[in-house]
Amino acid sequence: MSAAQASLKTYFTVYALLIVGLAATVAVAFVHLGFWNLPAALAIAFFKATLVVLIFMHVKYSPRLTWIVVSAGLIWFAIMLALTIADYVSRSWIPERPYSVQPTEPQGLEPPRSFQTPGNKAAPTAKAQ
Amino acid sequence: MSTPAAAPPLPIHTAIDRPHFALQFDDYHQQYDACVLGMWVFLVTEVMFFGAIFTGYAVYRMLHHDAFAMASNELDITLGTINTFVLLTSSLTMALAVRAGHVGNSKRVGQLIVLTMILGATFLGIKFFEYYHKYEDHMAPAFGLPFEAPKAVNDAGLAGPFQLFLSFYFGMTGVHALHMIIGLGLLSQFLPRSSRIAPAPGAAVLSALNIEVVGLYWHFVDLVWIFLFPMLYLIDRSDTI
Repeated sequence: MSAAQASLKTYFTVYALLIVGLAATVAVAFVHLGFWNLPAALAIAFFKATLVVLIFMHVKYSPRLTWIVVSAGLIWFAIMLALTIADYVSRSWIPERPYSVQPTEPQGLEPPRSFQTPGNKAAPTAKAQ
Repeated sequence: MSTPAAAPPLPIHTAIDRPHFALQFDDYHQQYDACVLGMWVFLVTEVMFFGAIFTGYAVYRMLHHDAFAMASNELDITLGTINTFVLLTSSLTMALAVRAGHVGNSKRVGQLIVLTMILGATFLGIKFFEYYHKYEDHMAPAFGLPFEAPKAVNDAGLAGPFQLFLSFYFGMTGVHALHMIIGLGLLSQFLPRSSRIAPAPGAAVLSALNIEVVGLYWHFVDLVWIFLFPMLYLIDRSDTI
């Protein structure tokens, strides 16, 4: 309820930080960091989002119940993202090109498809003999 | 929170005139907190809505990283940066409008809401200009429009995932733009009241609570863009592919 507590100065400070964050995220994108480009971009985005949620959206001045609802949204999204990504990262037998036609292979205790390359396709036949 | 609503006499046109509350609430503050909480619950459902799209995007970016990087470099980073700047500025004016509403300065509310709407419309204008460019370049994968991936992409055999990225681009920014249009509609309801035109009979009374709730929606749309911009425009700008 006490949303008017935030002073004009606070709003303009947050705005300045958001613009700095925008400049930083564009600048970092042009620096070659390899793998770390994505974490850097995400970190800046989370920083900006936190500022907007806490100050512009007044969560900082809101009752605890609002905090719980906001956190619940974040947590459920994190669960969806984490479990989905974990699935795709760890299940190596998901074909990388789902639209291309794969040759049908015999069912049974074969190694996962992605372990087979055209070169070693005949490898498990040693067991079959 | 338990302070009674000791209503000081307010001029008829101030933003927080008649802080009346509905029957089911004890006082105005309880109604205020309940409404804001309800808006947050709605926004959490929106988080899950956009979250599902982001999750799909993350999976396909993981599977087709090179093609996504090539497609991302086709987007106009200058226009994207300008648009982000415009949207962040509109968020500031919205926050200031909400504050003016709480302070009771309805004239300022009107000015800031008009400013916010101008900035929002500017964002949409730049966005549709970008869409039009993609249409001209034959990179709009929708409605059976002609689609041609650049030669380098075709040579690398990445035309499919390249098109997939542009589908994600149009889908995500399109849904975001739809939210912006809805936001503009929500904001426009405040115009008659905050300018000195008498509201139509039965029109909703402009209150600080109304502005607060619409402000939450506007900031949420800004939040989505804060994540969309680096995800779509800024993949691997450093690599010279």
